[in-house]
Amino acid sequence: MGKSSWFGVIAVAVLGFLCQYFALIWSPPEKTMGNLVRIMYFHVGSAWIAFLAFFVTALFAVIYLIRRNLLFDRIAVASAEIGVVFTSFTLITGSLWAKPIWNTWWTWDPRLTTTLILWFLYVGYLLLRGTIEGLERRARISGIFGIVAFADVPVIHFAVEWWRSIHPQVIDETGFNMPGTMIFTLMFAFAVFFVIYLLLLVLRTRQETQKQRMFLIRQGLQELRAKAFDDSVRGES
Amino acid sequence: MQQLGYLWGVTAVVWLGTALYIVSLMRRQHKLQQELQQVEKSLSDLRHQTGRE
Repeated sequence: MGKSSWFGVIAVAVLGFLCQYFALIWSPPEKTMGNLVRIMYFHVGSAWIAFLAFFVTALFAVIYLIRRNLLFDRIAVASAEIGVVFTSFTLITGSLWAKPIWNTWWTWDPRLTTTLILWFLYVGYLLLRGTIEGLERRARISGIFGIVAFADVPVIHFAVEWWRSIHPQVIDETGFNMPGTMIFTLMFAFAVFFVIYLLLLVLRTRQETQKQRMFLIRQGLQELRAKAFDDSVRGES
Repeated sequence: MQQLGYLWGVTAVVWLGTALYIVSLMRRQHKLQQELQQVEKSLSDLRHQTGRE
């Protein structure tokens, strides 16, 4: 690991430690939920990063469709994979929060259901990519899928307004429904997850670039082998 | 503080999950490097083969 990678790891560890301190010790408990409200910083922070990741996927898919540069497709798939990871965190932490508060691990609430649909949509996006041959074709088809799937994100946001929901609304038309210390902790957690997201995005995009290069080298190698075989057959005849 | 153990458990999901994802990225990177070595070997074999002809 290089110097910059170590710097990144140490920075994330320090930020993570601070996030843990603000969330579990410094921020105040809530009137009805008590200390369980502290799960919110991780649950909501993960959810916002997941939405941001899928927005980046949709945005870079659009840019790919306009520019036809595979770099944009690589960023889109990297972001989608990280988005799936953070959506998983959102669903798991949400379930762990729901059990002591709602007395159930899961309920088919509109916001929960649409979030689960989002998770399935982007898992589908990643699986779909594995089934399509050809780099450009794969980028085009999965790009369109990534853009269409993003339509679920605003549905998740408005689900609590459109349908009857027991899920609390952190932000509404009046702003944040919490005291300043809690807003600060939430924004800090979001900032920490954002830094982690950016680092993961760089790593995963680099890996995808290497994967595509490897694919092209293998393709070139196969063509060379076929040419060498043809030449040897011609030489014999 | 009440429920602190449970809260640590919930936050561990996020941190351990992130760590696991990073480990999976590193494993995939290792596999990619092995594939690269394999391709380099195939390329040098091909070069020898065409050189002999």
